[in-house]
Amino acid sequence: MYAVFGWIMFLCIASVLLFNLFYVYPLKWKEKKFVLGVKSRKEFKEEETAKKIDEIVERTHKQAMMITIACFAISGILLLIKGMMMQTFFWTLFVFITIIVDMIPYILGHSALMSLKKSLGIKSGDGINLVDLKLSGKVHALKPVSVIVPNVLGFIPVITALLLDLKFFRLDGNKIAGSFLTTLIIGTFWFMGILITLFAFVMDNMRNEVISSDSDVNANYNRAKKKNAADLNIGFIWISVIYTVITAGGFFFYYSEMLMVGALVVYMLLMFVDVFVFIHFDKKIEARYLKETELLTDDDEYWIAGMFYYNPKDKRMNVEKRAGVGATVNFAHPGGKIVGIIGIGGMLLALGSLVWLGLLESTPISLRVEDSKVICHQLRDEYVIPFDDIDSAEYGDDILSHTVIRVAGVGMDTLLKGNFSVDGINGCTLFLNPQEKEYIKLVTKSGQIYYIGGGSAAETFTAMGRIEHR
Amino acid sequence: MIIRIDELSDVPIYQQIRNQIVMGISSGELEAGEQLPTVRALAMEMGINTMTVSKAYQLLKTEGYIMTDRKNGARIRSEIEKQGRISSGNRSELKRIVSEARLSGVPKDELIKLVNEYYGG
Repeated sequence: MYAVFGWIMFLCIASVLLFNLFYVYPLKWKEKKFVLGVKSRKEFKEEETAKKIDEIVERTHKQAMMITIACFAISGILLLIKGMMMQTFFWTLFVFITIIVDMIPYILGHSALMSLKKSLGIKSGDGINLVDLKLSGKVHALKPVSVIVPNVLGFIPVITALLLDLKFFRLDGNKIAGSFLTTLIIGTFWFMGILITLFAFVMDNMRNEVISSDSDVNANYNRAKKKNAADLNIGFIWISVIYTVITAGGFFFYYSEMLMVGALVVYMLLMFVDVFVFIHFDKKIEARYLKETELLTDDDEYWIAGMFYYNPKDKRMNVEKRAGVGATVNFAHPGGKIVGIIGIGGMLLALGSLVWLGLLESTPISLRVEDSKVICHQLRDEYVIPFDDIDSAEYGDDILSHTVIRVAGVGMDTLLKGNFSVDGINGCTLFLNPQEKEYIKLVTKSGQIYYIGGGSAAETFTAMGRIEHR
Repeated sequence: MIIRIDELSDVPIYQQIRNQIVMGISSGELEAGEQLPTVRALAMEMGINTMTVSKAYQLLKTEGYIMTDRKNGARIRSEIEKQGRISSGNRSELKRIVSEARLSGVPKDELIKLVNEYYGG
């Protein structure tokens, strides 16, 4: 399983790095609207200046290529790491480091280009804002029906899974009905579609860029850009819907973790294809309208490192990205600040989760009987079952002979803890190390089922003896 | 019609919007009866407060350049009242421009040529 996870991570990292190399660090900068986060302009294309920019662009591209090669090599090494926990830890750490390191050449290149711009005596058009009166609020490419239909279709498997989990109907061969696992997984992806829908509307309402004094040119350019963005988002939504339908169909009749992983791989591949189609058309649009670009709004000063937009005078929340594709937020806007806080919070949460998982992996579990209570301990007393509550106790010697499906909790090579489905019975509480195969099955008078074990077979055996003599 | 807003200028933004719409009407870029964007749409497009745009529209309405109603929003008036005289504010502004031009050594003919160009046929 961890090997599959490793390959998924490898594919993701490789795609993003290659995308960055050719899209964030392009060599043919004259065909682009932005050069390393600085708005391209006529003065840049004059012979002497163009030579200097060529040097900066080539240097940053070379640096980015070296980083890409190094990241590929490190990714290859990470594939050799054994164990899910170790893979998760090192891949997550690697992703964070890669995100930062891969942008270093961009930041350096941006800084060099801004210095060059200053040395040429070009002042940013600070505070100058161009608006085409005839375009205001009129250029849209996203038809609401095109995003509502897939979201409604995607909701059908979600509601079906929910009804199945609520036991409104039954399906032969479905062992996980009632666990809410299917509802949770496909519901998450359906919700992703909803979030993308909101993002699609945000992109469709983005400010129109003024590139020409001819309103028709501006309208066509902005409509083409918005149409391409709308197609990208509609594609994303349909991919999420297809994923929910296929995964739900699979889960309804046959549950397998491999099925889940396989569907996820296909989901991600389709996402990448969608992004590459978007990039292809975006390049075509930019190339098509480059010759007609005669007006320039220069707000370079508000782009920190050419990546983060911070303009307190601008009341807009979303703007077109300069590095990569899509939109970013104005971090001076209250909404932008919230997005920033959520982003940083998310990263800290991911790192915190890693530390927590590391603690769980490295802390052995223990099972003891004390004061007529069975106590399952790891970092804290996780489960305390009084003798009086126990209806029956049974000793088993191979937990792996059962079909164990995690619903909520921790499922590691050395730890199963939380809410699981065991042999089709949902709501079982597990607390054991599956590598130590012995376990105790406890059923309480209220009907709650526990599968518990200690850090060693001897510990489990001793606890069982004391439970039997309760 | 392209509106150019200078956020660092001493001239308030609502006044800049008002001035450029008036110039647009005068040059023919904005035609009689032409629909203007809604206050919200223009504010979003410019990245400014809706109150600023609303103030500009209010001013244009008071001066008789545009008309507004709940159903159709803001439109350029078909018939703009022709007073046949320069307002005292514009007169002193013109005096300042002419004075500065004279002090800068701009020939009178050049100034008249510019006036002819802006005034049109």
